[in-house]
Amino acid sequence: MNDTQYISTHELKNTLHGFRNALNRVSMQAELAKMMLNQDMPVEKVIEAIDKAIAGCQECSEQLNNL
Amino acid sequence: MKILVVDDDTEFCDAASMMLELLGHEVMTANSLKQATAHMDEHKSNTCLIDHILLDFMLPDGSGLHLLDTLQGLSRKPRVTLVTGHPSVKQMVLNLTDDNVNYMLKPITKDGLQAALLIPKPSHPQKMRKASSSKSEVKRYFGCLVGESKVMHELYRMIERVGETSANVLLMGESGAGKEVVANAIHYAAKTAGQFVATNCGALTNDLISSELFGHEKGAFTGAVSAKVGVFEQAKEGTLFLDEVTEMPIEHQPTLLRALETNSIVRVGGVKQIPINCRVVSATNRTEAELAEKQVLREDIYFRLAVFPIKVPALRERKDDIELLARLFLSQLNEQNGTQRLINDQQLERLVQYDWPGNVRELKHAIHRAFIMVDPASQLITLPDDFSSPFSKKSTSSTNHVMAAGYTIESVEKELILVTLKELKGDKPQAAKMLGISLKTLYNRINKYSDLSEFNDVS
Repeated sequence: MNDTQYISTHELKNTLHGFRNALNRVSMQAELAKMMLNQDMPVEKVIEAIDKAIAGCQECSEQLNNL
Repeated sequence: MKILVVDDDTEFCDAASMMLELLGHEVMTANSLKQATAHMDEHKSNTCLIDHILLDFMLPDGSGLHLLDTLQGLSRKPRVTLVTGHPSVKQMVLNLTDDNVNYMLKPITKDGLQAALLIPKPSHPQKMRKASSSKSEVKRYFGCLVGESKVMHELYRMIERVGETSANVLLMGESGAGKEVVANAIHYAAKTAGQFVATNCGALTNDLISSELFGHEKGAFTGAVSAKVGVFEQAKEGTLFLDEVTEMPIEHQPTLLRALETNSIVRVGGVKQIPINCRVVSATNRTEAELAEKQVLREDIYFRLAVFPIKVPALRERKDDIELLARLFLSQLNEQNGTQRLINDQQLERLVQYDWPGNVRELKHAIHRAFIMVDPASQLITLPDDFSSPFSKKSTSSTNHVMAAGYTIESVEKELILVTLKELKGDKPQAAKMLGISLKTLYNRINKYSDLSEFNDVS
């Protein structure tokens, strides 16, 4: 593997890592919101989780734009 | 369950903590290897015991695997779930020899989290048995039981048989005989997917017992700030061990009976029927006669719990195992402390001669005490002059061993006279009165039995 190949592989790995993190954030916060609704948690807490899920979606979108 | 979440991503830590709390667990977090190690130090010193660790690989000050290394050799090892975004970790976990470790892939879901917390039993029993026997040359049956006596082999046979079924088991045996270890062995033999969950019915207050067994919904009572999963649900597809079941208040027993009969429970404050599927292993240190006489357990509950009753033998019923156990406890202490302390044949003989009313627990404590009192020059452990404790004194005086079947009337008479004379410091008129015989008869018996010669002041 030459330097250029190495750099592009490394960049690809970083990009994938960023996507995974953002998707994990969305999934976890959505799951958390569902659990909170099932257990009658305060609505502010649920909105907070949903906001974080939305932020995760926006993060994914930005990363796609940057590709 | 007390869970430690280790991840440098604080948002992940917060979300995972909240999910776990909503599932009824107690959670602590650490954002670095250093913080996680500090929690483990508390675990080691028993100030804060951790049941499970959710562990990230990449931490700012090192790898999560370093934390795994610190768990080696702990007597109470927390289970570990490695949390990663990369599927390749699966092969790495499969290569780990530790069956206590599993993995969870991101993104995390509620079901994934619940499944990870129910780490299946060792899938390679042969590997585990080999590992444990290589550590000390003692064979462990079902991964935990030690003993080669006839009564123990009979017990192993019963565990093996009952393990193949889903029958509820009632363990009866004296305190310290190892009922919880036998319950673990049954769980091991059953090869089920669920976990072993233990609770002590004698330690629960009237107010908490239903919540502990069946769980509660949020707001069910003052202080129920979140919903809690009870032990019946936690033991799904596994084994629920109800220790000291006969100490459960009788008014709570109908609810337990209903759960056992319908195989479903309703959480406190809830309305939904939740199906349960676990084997119930219960234990009591009361005898069958006591169960009947004192009515500590309802008859209908007894028949539900004791589909397969097993008597766990007292240590004095398996004296052949005393030497094996003593050597095992000593080797464990040597291993923990990096020492080479010894026990000699005379000391082993003394251990065998004693009756051990506190059973294996008492023997283990006696070895530990003797280990501390080592002779620095010879590295030989120092046994006390007298093994008896306040409890053993009570036990030996109330259940005198000479009253067991197989003794002659003559030997019982001799023992009774000896005990009475010792108790009264040799006061013969008083002893004769207490024994209900004339002083002349007492003197005749003292002359007859050579063992009583120390009280023969006539010859």
